[in-house]
Amino acid sequence: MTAMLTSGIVVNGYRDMATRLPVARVPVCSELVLPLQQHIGTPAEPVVGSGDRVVRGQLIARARGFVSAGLHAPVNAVVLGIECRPVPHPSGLNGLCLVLAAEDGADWGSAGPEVVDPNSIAIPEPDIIRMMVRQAGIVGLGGATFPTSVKIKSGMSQPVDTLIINGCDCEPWISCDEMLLRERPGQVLAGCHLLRQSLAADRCVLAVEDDAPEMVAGLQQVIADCNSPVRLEVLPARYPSGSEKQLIHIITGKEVPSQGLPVDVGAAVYNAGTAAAVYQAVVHEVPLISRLVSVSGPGIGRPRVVEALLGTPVSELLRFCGGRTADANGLIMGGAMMGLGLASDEIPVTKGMNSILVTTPAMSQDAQGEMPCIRCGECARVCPARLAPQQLLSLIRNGDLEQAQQRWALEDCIECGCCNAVCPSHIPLAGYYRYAKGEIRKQGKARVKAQQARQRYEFRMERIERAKREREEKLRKKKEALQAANKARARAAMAEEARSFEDEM
Amino acid sequence: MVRHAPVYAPDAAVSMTMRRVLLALSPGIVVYTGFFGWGLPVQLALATVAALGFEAVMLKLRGRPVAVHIGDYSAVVAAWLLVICLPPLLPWWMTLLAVFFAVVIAKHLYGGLGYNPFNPAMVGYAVLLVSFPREMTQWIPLEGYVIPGFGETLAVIFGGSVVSHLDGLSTATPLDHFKHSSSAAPAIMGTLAGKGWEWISLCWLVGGLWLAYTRTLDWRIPLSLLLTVGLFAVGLALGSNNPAWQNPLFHLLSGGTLFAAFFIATDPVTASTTQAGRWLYAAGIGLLAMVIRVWGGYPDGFAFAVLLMNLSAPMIDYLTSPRAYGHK
Ligand code: SF4
Ligand code: SF4
Repeated sequence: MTAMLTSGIVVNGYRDMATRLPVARVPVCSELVLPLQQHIGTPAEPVVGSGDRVVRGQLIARARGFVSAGLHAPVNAVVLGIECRPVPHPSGLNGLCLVLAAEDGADWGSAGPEVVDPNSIAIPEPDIIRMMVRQAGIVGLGGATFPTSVKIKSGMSQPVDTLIINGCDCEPWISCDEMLLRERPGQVLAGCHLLRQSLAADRCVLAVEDDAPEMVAGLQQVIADCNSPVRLEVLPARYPSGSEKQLIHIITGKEVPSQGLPVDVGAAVYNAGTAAAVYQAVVHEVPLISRLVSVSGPGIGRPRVVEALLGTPVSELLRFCGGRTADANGLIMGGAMMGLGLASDEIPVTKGMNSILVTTPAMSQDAQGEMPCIRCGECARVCPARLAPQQLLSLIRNGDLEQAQQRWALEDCIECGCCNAVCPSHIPLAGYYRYAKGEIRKQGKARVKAQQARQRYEFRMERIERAKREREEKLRKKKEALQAANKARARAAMAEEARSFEDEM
Repeated sequence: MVRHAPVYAPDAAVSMTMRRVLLALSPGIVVYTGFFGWGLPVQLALATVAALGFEAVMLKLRGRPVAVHIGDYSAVVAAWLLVICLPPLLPWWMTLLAVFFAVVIAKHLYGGLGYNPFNPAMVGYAVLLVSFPREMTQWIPLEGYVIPGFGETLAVIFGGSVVSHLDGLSTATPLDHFKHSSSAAPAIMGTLAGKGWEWISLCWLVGGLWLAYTRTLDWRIPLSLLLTVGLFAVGLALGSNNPAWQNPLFHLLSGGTLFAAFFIATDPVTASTTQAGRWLYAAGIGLLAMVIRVWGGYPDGFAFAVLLMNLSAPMIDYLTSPRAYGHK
């Protein structure tokens, strides 16, 4: 029996769009913009100032705190400054960025070459690998952008038996993992070996989907040729097989506990691009300064997967890929199911940007519009998290977030959008869940804040109270002392009197 | 405004679902008309117009965009399902009354499409059955009588006229007939469930199977319902000496069992939404309907069985919701 996802949906992945041309490098742009926050965790802290000259690969912002990642100069450049610029973020707000002016004649330099035999690379000690990964500023390149060294660290503290390398392009229209595995399988395999060593994992599985036959055939060849211990698992293409929790379930048969981590079931998942970056960092000491971006969709002239330096404006990518077609009507970062809409193309390529999708009106034609839920249950049938989307919907509409969370596991929604896709009433269900989860987090934060405020207040009252008590105590003691003194004095006087009286006697 | 994912053209739509149901009903309607004359088509036309009218008025009153919602065909589906359950020569105002109860009371006063706890068609049917039990059991027998022509049909339905050769004779539903007959039901098509009815039932089966095949309905519901009825009928055949109950097939092919299984119990709005729940829900309908059929006072129990299970659907959903990923 082949392992596969039993929920979810079969979608057209449009895998043939961006895979016809080989990966090409976008030429160096005169200005590169590097947001300080392009990972999950604390923003990086600049270590260069305006006017400084930096060379390719030099650290320009360092990781601050444990969960963070550093940034490196993609090319030889001069630092123009630290400015607020538009960044790809759901909030749509600007973010602090390091702005570099590339030197005249600055070039890509040479990345590590494609390895022929991944078994031949020297594999350092786990801690060394982790340190090198940290120094290279590597984060999860599948879009999650969690700092990879932190993930390795957590995998070191708990036993990992299955290391999974995710080679499934998670969503329709995205092809960067496929092109990476087609053109640089050796780098990914070498990365697999390094990661496996760092985690002391028993086995390593490379998971891909079967809708890219050329890639699958190539990988099988390479793995056989070099006799790699990596096991290739070809999954029937089904969305969202590439989602972390679902992939773990498919490969290991185990479910990551709600609110838990993959290591809790002895699994670790890394994106194929991340594995290749680990190889570059450990073997060639090349930090993360570029990435593959799939530029696709019906609204782009020449869809293809490009390799772009971090900080390159998206507008350059679009130009490089033949520009937008006349009917292009939108830009999405990520895939057609979960991607983030971009307001403009004057936004830089970041570590998490795996895809730019240029949309046209024809892609999302909806003659019907939103209708009431007819409780058909289709959404529940396809939900990979086995939730009851229709129940969640009515609870959220009624404002009963508490119940949605407590009884119907809202927090476990992975926002994959499968429910949307099958809903005959065309209700934007995943949007509701994203909103509701945000609300709950906000309320939670507000609750924590309120609690802290209350604690502070109570503490203050307590302090005042204590001060008052202490003051009263002192006063009382003083009084008592005074009284005692008075008494003593009185007694003394009395005694004196008595004595004098006696004396007089 | 920035457009976020998802971006794709959806391929399922409510109106599509409803149109499919109408299409799946068509063969049965044609065969029905072939056996029993113009009554059903006339009633269907009447009910369709009435349902659309009521729907438009209610949408307007509720401040909903009429054009958007009337195009979902849900009112037409409810009206057709209702009319198919009614005797074909029912006076026009009774049909109207039933459609009124189905569309206005059962559907819109409970919040409109998607919010109604009770199956609208069954509410309309039950109201008539309780209010006009005599008219509701006047079915046209096939044997020995001339099926009325088009003009005659109109005269009976709209003019209140009584056709001489139909006068006072058509009071037994096929089920009543067998329930009280002493003769064993012969297992031949045409005489098993009352002449004509098995053929119509088979048409419902074909239409229903097509709906299941196109995933318009969840196959679990008809399967579970028919299994329950079948098992019950086998038990009955073994345990009872009423000659009418001797052939279990009778229960499957008569009294609208197949119609209820594929078209009534499958109404998604009023059914259970979980997969396990749907097994239970449909089994409950089958069981209740058989109990009413065998021991109850009404000739057929599906309307009440469906309404009772509608009532239990939210509870069934609550109890059968699957364990979410990553939960114990
Ligand atoms: S798929 Fe849409 S209409 Fe069907 S139950 Fe889910 S939310 Fe309701
Ligand atoms: S409820 Fe959440 S996890 Fe389930 S299908 Fe919808 S978006 Fe995906």
